[in-house]
Amino acid sequence: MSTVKKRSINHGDVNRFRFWFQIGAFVILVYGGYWALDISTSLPTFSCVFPSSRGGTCYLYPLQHQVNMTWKQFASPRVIGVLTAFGTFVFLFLLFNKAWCGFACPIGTVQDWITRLRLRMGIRPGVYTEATFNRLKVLKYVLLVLLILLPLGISNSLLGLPKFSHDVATSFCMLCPGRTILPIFTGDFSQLTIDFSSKTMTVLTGLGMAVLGTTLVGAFYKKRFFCLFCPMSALHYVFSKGALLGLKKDGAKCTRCGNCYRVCDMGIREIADDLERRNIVQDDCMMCFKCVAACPEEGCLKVTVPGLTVYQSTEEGFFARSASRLNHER
Amino acid sequence: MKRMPNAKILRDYIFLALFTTCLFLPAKGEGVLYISETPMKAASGRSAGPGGHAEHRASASRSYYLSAEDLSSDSEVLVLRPDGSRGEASMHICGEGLMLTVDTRPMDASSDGIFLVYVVDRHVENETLLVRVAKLNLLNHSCRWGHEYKFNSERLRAKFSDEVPLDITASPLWDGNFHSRTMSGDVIGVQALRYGKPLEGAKISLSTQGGWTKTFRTDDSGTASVQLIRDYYPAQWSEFSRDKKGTFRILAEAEFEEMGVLGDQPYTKVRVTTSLPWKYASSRREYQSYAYGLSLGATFMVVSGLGVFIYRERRKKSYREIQFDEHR
Repeated sequence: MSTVKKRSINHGDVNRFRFWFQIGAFVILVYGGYWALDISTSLPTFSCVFPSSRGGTCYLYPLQHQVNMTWKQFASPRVIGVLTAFGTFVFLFLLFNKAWCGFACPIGTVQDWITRLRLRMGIRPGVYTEATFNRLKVLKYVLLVLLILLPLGISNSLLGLPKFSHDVATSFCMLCPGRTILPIFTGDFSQLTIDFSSKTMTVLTGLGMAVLGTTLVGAFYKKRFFCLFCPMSALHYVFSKGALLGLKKDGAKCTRCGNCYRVCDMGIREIADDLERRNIVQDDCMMCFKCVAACPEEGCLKVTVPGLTVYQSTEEGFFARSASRLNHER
Repeated sequence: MKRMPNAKILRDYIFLALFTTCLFLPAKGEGVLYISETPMKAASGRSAGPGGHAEHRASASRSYYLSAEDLSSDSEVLVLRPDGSRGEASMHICGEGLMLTVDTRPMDASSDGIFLVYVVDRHVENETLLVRVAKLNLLNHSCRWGHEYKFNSERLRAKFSDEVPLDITASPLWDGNFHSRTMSGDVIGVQALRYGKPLEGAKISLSTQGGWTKTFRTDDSGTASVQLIRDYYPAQWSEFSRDKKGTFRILAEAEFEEMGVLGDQPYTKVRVTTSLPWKYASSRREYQSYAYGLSLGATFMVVSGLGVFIYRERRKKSYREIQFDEHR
């Protein structure tokens, strides 16, 4: 890549690029069906299955369906389908790493739009203390384990417990704000209801509406509020180290100015504090690359694909962005 | 004093009851011909309708049961695949009666959609040609194939064959993902077609599993519509199952003054009956509530919003001016 091209990329505003990319991804994932698009049924992002016009399907939905089988079936050819879907998910994830969250996730995009609304209203954001942040981030692993165990417990008796009701087959989807929010964009409001057909469904859909109300308010005060609890993010992190797209840090060049931490929507402290690790992607990172744009040190933070630096922090780029105040948020 | 019925009256009652029962039992080769996914119970029709084939998974073949125990030698089976090509089917006798097996290979998205299955039976009786057509809309879909036809109106529409003496189409029966979508309360549009052309004045009746029947006639465009009633009333709400599927059967009947010969039997009139079974679920309105859902969502919004506001207000510190004496 020529020096001029590199310079223009490094001086570019990743936030503006991400804003338009997110809109494009949102249109494809929520309305793609109108153009007969069906990218995959194992997408590593919240492309919710509930809008009928979707252009792809979030992997968590088929995952919950597929693990709903007996132990015996896990040793049968039926497991090929499970492995194929899982393999597709891993393959797609490895291409873009957690940038699926920062650039493509429709629920992440909606949260970012809510954040923009707050900024326009001049209301300051909320920030978790380190202790609260560490306590809350565990929840996504709990949700990930539950979303696998509950469907598994429909076909099998777990720890001697009676088999679960079929109503918990897609229990996480019932709680996920993607189910309640995204169909609204297609004119479908049918998910904003409580389902009284069984006790389990009453509880699950009730919780779903509670999560919706809390998420809308939470996302207004706290950037990417729901992402801290997202089990997809937890599943991502299992494979993150092998992904092609990387976020690298050169600790020797870091002056610990804290810019990267201050602009981080997720509030990841390690991005500023960790001077040892080269791969700086954390489980809560969504690879929005705001940190790279906010770093004034030459080559301290880099976005890489194997053998190539795609985007990196530069002093010149930092001042160019600062001058236009595009990277500054309250 | 209570009088006991004497033996003669009792015998007459029994005879009358048996006679009435026999009157309503169709004789061999008579009655309506229809296809079901579950084995028939005699020919009462109460158990008719598609039953348990998986709507989400592919299958190399799908088997159905016929209401008749045998068919005339002039019967034929017609299978039309979603792309309009001819499909294959075979018929054999099993313990539950006549079984029809439809070949649904190849198991890929090329056969994604609705197969039209017809069994046409003809025989002459009292110089009348009796044509019995059993139609089935076979959902051949696997979610694994994706849902690329979900906005393809041609693939989705209810189809008919212009080779069938009396065909009926009904819609909407399935959604864009080729899953059955009919619910109680839905208005179902029915069209009767005589060799592919709209048929005016055909008698259409829709019967639900619960025994409710509505009869009407088609207009000059061969169409009519009917609202499907609710006929699922569990004794207790705890027994309610939203997955419970009821079945209904649409029956079209028409007579024509036509002369001809079938084999060596002449006829002066043609009477055609066509059946189309389908299944339906309870309406979502029966068990879903917007009022409770939106109230709960709004409550959580207000409570969490107030919570954050109060938390922030309590953490506000009053302004305290600190003065430094720079001269000291």
